[in-house]
Amino acid sequence: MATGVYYYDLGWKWSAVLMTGNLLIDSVISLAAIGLMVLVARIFFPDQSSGVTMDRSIERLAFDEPDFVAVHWIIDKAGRAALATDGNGRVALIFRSGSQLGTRCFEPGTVQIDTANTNQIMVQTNDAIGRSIEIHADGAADWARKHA
Amino acid sequence: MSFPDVIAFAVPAFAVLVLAEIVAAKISGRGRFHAGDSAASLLMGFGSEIAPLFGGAALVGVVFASAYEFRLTTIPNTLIAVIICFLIDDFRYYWWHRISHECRWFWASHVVHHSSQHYNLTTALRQTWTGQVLGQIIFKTPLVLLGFHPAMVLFVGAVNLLYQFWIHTELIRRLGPLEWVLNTPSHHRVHHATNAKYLDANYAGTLIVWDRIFGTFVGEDDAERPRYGIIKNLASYNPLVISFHEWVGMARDLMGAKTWGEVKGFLFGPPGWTPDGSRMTSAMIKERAKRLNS
Repeated sequence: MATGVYYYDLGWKWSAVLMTGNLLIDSVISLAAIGLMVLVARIFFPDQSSGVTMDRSIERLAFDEPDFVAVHWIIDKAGRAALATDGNGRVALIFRSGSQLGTRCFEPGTVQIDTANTNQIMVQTNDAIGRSIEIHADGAADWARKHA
Repeated sequence: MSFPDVIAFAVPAFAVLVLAEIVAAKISGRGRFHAGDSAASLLMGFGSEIAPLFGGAALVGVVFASAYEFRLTTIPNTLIAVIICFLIDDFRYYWWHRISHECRWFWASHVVHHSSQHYNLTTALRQTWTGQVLGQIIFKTPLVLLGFHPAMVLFVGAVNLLYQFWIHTELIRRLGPLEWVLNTPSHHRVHHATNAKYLDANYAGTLIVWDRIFGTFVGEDDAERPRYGIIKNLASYNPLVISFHEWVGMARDLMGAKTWGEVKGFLFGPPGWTPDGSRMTSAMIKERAKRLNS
């Protein structure tokens, strides 16, 4: 059998219902539908923020890193992130992830923190995308030099 | 016998059901949505429909056509054959899915589907852009070699995916005796959970019996609510980050590999594997949980 027979079964076929068969037009329809769904989600679930607080950080850290015993804490003024150390060099970063929180844990000596500004530190995550997260708090740089 | 593109037929229904779930979740208080998360999931689904145009569809076409030329026998396109093909494909799905969680090469594509910290119908549409080119075809080709028509193989695979759409919800709790046989919302919530006790469980597509047979079944514990996502949650709604972060991570690891053993481990070891154990595999996480609970 000709290979082309199978191409027919594998190609773009959104023409079944509500679609035109034109890739460009169908893409616009699809994106409009996505926009509608996101808008409705936004309307029905308006509380999209997830401030990082001490309680939420402790709870999330206990789930993600249950053997991490946090001793020292610093929390961003705007609730974007928090940093905790266990007193033995391990560092945990807790940050906003939409309406949830995410964490990253660093073994002793592996965390990179920019302490150039007195009241702001920048923590380099160990993510593939090389993201860094800022924490604004009074005396943040001193805190990082002392504890992290 | 013709094999319709069931996914194409279902797309408008997906949209209607997502809208209905948003409303129902709000009213019932079961299930949560986050606009950014939903946007990311839906854009991943949109992209996964376009991605095959960049070579994946052609690759599948060529491989399936070639395999069909060398088929062991010719299985006629009958209803019985479709049912048998579906059952074999569901078995195939179980193993593809299990390997996708146990081998980083396949996980790099599949992680996309697990990268949401929410669990709703939009999560079902958060699909890989790279999986078709980089692995799935290996698992489907044997059905074509057996003698099932490629169009039938694609059809039953699509039906299986279609089945799995509706199980991505927190609205439905349990389904009585069906829980023994079918993959249900409850079983699949466990699969998407990152709780230590739920890791690496419930790989089924349609029939949960494969998990029961091969020892990977874990029931949902009402006392332990599933928490969704991945071990290191992304905190990004950028589709490019969602789609390629694990591939980038793998490339970075490979650049730092010192031996062929490390290359092999980074490519085909379990997700989280490192030579020095500095990151955690799911086996290590389970072990840690066991240690901390004892």
